[in-house]
Amino acid sequence: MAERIPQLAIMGHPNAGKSSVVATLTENDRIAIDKRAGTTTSSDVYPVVIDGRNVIEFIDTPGFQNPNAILEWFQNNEQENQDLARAFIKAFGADELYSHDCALLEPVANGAGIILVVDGSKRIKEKDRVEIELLRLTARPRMAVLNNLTSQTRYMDQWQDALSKAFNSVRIFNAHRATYAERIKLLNALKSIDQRWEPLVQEAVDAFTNDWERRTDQAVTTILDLLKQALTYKVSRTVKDSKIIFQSGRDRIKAELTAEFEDDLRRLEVEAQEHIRTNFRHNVWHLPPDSILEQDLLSEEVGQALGLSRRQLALVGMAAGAASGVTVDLATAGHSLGSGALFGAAAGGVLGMVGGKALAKLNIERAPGTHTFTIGPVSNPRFPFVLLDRIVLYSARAMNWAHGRQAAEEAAPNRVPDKDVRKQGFTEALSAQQQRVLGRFFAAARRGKDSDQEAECREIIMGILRGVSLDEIDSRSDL
Amino acid sequence: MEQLLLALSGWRVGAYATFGAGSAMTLQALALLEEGDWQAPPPRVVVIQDGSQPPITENLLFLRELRAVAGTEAQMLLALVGDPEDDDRLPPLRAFDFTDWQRKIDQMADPYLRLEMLAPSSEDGEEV
Repeated sequence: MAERIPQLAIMGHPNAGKSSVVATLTENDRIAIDKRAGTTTSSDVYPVVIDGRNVIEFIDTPGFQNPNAILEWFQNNEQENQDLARAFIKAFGADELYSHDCALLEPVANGAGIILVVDGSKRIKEKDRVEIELLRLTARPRMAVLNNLTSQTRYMDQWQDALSKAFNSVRIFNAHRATYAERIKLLNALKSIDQRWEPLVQEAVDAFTNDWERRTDQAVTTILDLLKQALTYKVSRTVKDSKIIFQSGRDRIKAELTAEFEDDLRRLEVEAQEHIRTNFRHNVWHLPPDSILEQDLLSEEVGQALGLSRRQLALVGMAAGAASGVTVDLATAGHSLGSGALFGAAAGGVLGMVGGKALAKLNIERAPGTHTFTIGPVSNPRFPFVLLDRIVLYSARAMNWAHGRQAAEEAAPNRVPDKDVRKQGFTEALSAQQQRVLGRFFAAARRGKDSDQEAECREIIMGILRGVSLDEIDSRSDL
Repeated sequence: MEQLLLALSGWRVGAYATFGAGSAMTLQALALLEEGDWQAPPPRVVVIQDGSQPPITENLLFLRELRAVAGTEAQMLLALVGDPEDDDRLPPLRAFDFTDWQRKIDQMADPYLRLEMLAPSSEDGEEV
């Protein structure tokens, strides 16, 4: 006999947001969500699979097509039938008119619990009252979800009152904005809809929580790998003397090498982002064009929005024994990490140049008949904090970006507004001690050495990601 | 409502019935048609419907039942309104919702069934 797992049929009338709720709860952004009514025409099972095992199943059902007729039939047959859903299917299973309704009631007849999804932004209508009552008559464990995707909250109390009379639990859940913590809260609330379900649901919640912890840990590994790779990265090219007799030849080599170095840093970041996105199961990924994640990694804008403040950087620099670099940073008061700065470095080719802050230094080695140009590793003290902040920002978005948001009307005038912009990266909010740990880790990484700070550094990043998951640290979704 | 209807169709209301909450209401509405004394046939029937709720089989079935009683050449007008507000019980419908209904009504292939918005939409036809 197959192992029993909780099954929940997601119900509600067309366009209430059922598919969005399923997509968010199962972290599946490939579920077809269409703003046109009636996109879902059959009951589709979406399991939450962890370690190859289904731990809970959500069944996306078509909306009710004949709610009044079903309710009347239920009311007329209530006395004779203990299992009204099963009896209705038996009576109308062959009737084309009720094919969608039978598909909707099938999982309920098979023992699934019910999650009724209603659009809490709209007033309660007669059809809603009909649905609430007919689901009550099924006598299955049931929860109602108030899926309010807008800022319209005036009907929420009325909904709560109406639903509380017929459902074991009523939860407010924005399927387009729900974070990991909110998803877990909703899953935990399922335990209360029927005491007999408690152990099964708890098992599913535990599996989900453990899996999330594992995925978060994997994300931290990706982040640390990115930092180590980016901070040790170098590009070199050996050219014959005959190619660089003139200044123009040297400038061309420098320019090409600079572009290669910068592009490779960008590529490393993109690869890490792809790992994280896959880790948190995102296939659909839209970023607003003004997001800091859409800007060039080495741009002035990113450099200013993320990373440590100058004062923090100075303190970290002293702790990490990189005071000379910090002196330059303070002297120039610049944030630019762009190619202009790098050219400055290339022209100077020495440590501690003045007049611009270098991302990395250019080294030229001469041998008989050849010159070897090398750029890297990154020497800019600010860059690793910017890179870390940006990949944490990306992770925060991947962790808390609801999978059901693919159909969100981002331009809708009454949608839930984003939070106020908070121009502060994650590392800037860390304690001075934690910043120093990171600084030492970066310094060791630049030298290509294993750092005894790595474990502590891992804990710091893990702490940020956990805080983001549990809504204890702001996700900076507006950055 | 009668003014809006007059402006939309040129028709005046002779009698009305409420529907949408069970078979008893449906029967009353159908009886009104059956027993109606139509002074200038063919009959003209207007259905005022909240179009902010997506069209479901139940709605379309009701229209078919009306057609069966009113006759094949009765002029039927399905006038949609938006989600009622306190200060406007008959607001215009969002263009998106109207399109949703239009698809379903087109599928019914009823040549004497016309679909309209009861209240005029905003100037540019965009959602209000």
